[in-house]
Amino acid sequence: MSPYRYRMDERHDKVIRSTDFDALSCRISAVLRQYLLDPYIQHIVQGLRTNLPRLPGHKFSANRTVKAITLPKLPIINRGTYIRTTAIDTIVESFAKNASGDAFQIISLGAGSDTRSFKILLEYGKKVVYHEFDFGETVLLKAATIKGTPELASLVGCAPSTEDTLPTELHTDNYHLSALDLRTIKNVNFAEAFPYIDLTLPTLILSECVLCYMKPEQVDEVLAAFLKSLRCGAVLIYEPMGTPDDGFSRVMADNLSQRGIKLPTFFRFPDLWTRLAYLELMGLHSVQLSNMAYVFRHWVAGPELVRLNRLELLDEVEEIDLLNEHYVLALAQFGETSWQNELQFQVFSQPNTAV
Amino acid sequence: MLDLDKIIQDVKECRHVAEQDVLELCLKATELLLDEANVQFVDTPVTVCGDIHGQLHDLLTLFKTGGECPDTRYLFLGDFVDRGFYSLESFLLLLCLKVRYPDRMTLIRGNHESRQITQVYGFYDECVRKYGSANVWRYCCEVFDYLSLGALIGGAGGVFCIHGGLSPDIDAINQIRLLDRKQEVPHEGAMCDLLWSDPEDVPGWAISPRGAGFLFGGNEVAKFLERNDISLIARAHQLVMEGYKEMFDEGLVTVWSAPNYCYRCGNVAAILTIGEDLSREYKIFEAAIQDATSIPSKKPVTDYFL
Repeated sequence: MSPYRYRMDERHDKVIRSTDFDALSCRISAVLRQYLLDPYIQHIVQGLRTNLPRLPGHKFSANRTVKAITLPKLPIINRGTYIRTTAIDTIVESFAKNASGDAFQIISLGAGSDTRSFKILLEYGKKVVYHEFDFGETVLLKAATIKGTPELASLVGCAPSTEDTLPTELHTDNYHLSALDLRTIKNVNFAEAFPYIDLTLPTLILSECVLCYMKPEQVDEVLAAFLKSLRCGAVLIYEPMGTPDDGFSRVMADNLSQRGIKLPTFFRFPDLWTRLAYLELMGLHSVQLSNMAYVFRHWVAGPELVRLNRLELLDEVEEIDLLNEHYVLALAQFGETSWQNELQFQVFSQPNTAV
Repeated sequence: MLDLDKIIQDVKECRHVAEQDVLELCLKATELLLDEANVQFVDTPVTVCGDIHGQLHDLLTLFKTGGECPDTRYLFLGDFVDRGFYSLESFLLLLCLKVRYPDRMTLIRGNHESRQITQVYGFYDECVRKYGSANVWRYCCEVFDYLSLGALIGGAGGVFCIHGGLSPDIDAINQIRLLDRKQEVPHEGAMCDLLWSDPEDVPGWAISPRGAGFLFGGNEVAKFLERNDISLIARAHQLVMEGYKEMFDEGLVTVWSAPNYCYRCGNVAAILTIGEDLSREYKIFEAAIQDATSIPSKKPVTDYFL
C-alpha cells in the first residue's frame, strides 16, 4: 500500500468516525424537541465535554465539536431520527419479548454513542448480554463516560471511577464495550477474538449505518463471520439506499462524497427484492424489508401520530418522504428461530411452504 | 434616494446592500402592497412561478427561462425565503422589481413569509449573520404582512392563484376579500388554510400532516371552480420532482420553481405561462449550482442520517 493511499484511508476512517457525532447530534435535537425520550443522552454529552479534550488531536477542537453537536436540527431531521430510533427500538423489543424470559444477546456494530444499551440493560437486567463494538477512539470516549457517570456505571454493572488514562475497553457481566475494526474480521478466529460473546444465545445483531461505509466484499465477510459462528438470531440493518436513475440518490451520493463520506454499496441493489435475494444468499431467512417512508406510514398511528404532528409545524412533507425512501430497514433471521413478529414490511421472504 | 437599478445589480451578484437601503425599499414596497386587494387581479399573459426558497442563482435562471422582467409579466406564489442560502437577496430582488415595475410583478404570500416559520427555516439566521442584528429580518417581516393572499388571472373562466390551497371556511373568492390579511399568518382559520393546505386524493377534507391547513380532494376543487367561474387553481407549496403536476381533470396545478430543492432533492423546476386565451405553457429548468460545495456556509449544507 502506498503511503498516500494509507493517508487517504486514514482520513476516510476519521470522517466515518465523525458520523457518530452526526447521529448523536440528531438524537440530541430530537430529544430536545420531545420526539424521543432519552434520559441517558445528557450523560453522553457531559461525557464528551469532559473526555473529548483528553483525546489526542482533539484538545483544541473539543469545545467547538460539542457546541456543533448540540445545535438544533430541522423538523425533517427530527422526524427522520424519530422513526429511525423508534423502529429499531420496536424490533429490539419484539426480539426481547420473543425470548420470553430466557437469556438473549444483542451485538451492536458501530454502536458509537448510542444509548440503547442502557435502556435495554435497565429493562432486562441479567437476562441480556449487550455487546457494543466500535473504533478504538470511540470506545475510549464511551468507556470513560460510562465509568465517570455513576448512573451509567451502575446500569452496566461496574464501579464508577475517573482514571488518568482513558480505559480502552469495558467488560462487565452483562455489558461489553470492545474496540474492533470490522474490516479485519475475515482474519480473526471468532471464538478467540470475542471470548465474551456467547455463541449459543439467541442474538440480535444491529447494524445502524455501519456496513454502508464498507466495501461490498467486506460486508459479505462481516455477515459471514457472525452467521457461521453464532447459533441463531437475527440481523437488523438500517442504512442509506440509492436507487438507479434517480436525481435524489445522485445528489445524496454527491453531497456525502463532498464531505468525504463514501458509500460503496449505495447503488449495490436496484430495489428491495434484489436486496432480499442477497440476504437469503448470505444464509439468512425470514427476510423483511421496507424503506423508512413505508415504516413511518405503517408503524406510527393513532395518538402517537397526533402527538408528533403537534410537536413542530412540518413544512417538509414531500421532502421527508423522499429522504426516508432512501433509507432501508432490513430484518433477517439465521439458524433455528421461532420469532414471528407481527411487524408490517413492504417486502418479505415467502413463508416456507414445506409440510 | 433609492437607486433601484444599482440594488438589483448588487443583489444579483450577492453583494451587501446597506441596511438603510433595505429599510427604504421595504417601506416603498409596503406602500404599494397596501393598495393591493387580498386577491389581486392580474392580466394575461403572465408567467406563474412557485416556491423559490432563497435559491437566488436558480431565480436568475428562472428569469432567463421565462424572459426578464419587465419584458415578461410575473406572478410569484410565495415562499421566496428560507431553506436556501440567499433568501435575503432573492426577496430583495423580487421587491426591487415590484417597486420598479409594479404592474409587471405580483407577489403573493406563502406560508414561509411568516415570523414564526422564518425563525425555524433559516431566513432569520441569514439576516442576523449578514447584518449582525435582526433589523433587516424585521423590515422584511413587515412587508410579508402586507402581501396579497391570492390572485385572479383573466376574467371569467380564468385562473385562481394561491400558495397552498382551499379552506373549508371559503366557498367563494369574494369571501377572501373580507379577511384582515395584515397580520402574522395565524395558526388556524381561513388565512392559514389558504397558505398551508394541499390537494390530495381524499373525499372532501382531511387532516394535514403539516400540522396546519387541510388536505382537500377533487370534489372540493370541482365545486370551487364551478362556484367561482374559473378553470384552474394554480398553487405551489409542494415539491414536485417533475417541476409541475396537474390534478383533478386539469382543474388544479402545482408549480414548483426551486430546482434541486435544498441542494438535496434532485428535482427539476417549472414555470407556467398563462396566455391571453388562458392557454397553459410549461417551461422546465434545472439547477444552476449542481453541487453544494460552491455555497458559502459554515454549516454542513445538507443533513442526512449517518
